[in-house]
Amino acid sequence: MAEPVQIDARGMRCPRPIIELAKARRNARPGDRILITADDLAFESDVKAWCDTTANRLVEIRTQGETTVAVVEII
Amino acid sequence: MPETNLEQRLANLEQELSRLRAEFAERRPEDLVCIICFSGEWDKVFAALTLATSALALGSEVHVFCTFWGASLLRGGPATPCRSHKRPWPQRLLDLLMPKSIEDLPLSRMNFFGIGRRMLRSMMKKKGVADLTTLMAEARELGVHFHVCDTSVSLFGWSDAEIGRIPGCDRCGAATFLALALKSRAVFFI
Repeated sequence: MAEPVQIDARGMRCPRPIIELAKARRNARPGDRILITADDLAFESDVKAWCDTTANRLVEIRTQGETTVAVVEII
Repeated sequence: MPETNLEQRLANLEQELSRLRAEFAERRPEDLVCIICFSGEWDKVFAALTLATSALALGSEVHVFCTFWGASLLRGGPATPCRSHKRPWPQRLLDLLMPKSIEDLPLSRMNFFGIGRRMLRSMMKKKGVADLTTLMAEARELGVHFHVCDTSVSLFGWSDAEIGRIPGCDRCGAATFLALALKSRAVFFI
């Protein structure tokens, strides 16, 4: 599998991490993965909502302290 | 005969089902989000653009109808309406008093002649919160549709050429926008 596209959204507040994710998705093809790191406290629920609404798959999500790392697979 | 009766009932049900299906398809809202921006204050426009960019990120088509004071959010940048043609003095005065660009909009509270806004902006920068210019650029990149209220621009004396220079913006009336709003999933008034 190809390496996931990495986005570092640390230091960005809502809604910027989700905007970055949406921009990365535009260049992605089905099956591609995007790994996004953010320290916005709303990001964990926002990325879940984003995947739900846009029908993409949340492969993995882990939060340690304030940092959340999410891996999204583009469907 | 009971079988004929059953078949008849089944046929009726099928007919009813397809009618309801068609009705449902017709009534189902489209993936549209409409935002009516009436306010021309920095903080309120910030809320409008945050909603707009988030909805765009979620994959919705977003329409922002800028009316009355909200029309000032379209000023500045590549287009600065109200500069190029002669107009009567009330419009010239209004032009002079209206904010020149999106970052010049005043706060709705604690503006203190712009000092409050400057303080808030520096706090937001430190915290990594996007400013209006960034949000506006993101919204445009993600394909937001701006509509400027026809009555407002006639009142303010903006020309068609000036509106044409605003990227992704057309002038429209309330009914045109309402037709969009009526088939939207969500409508916000700010």
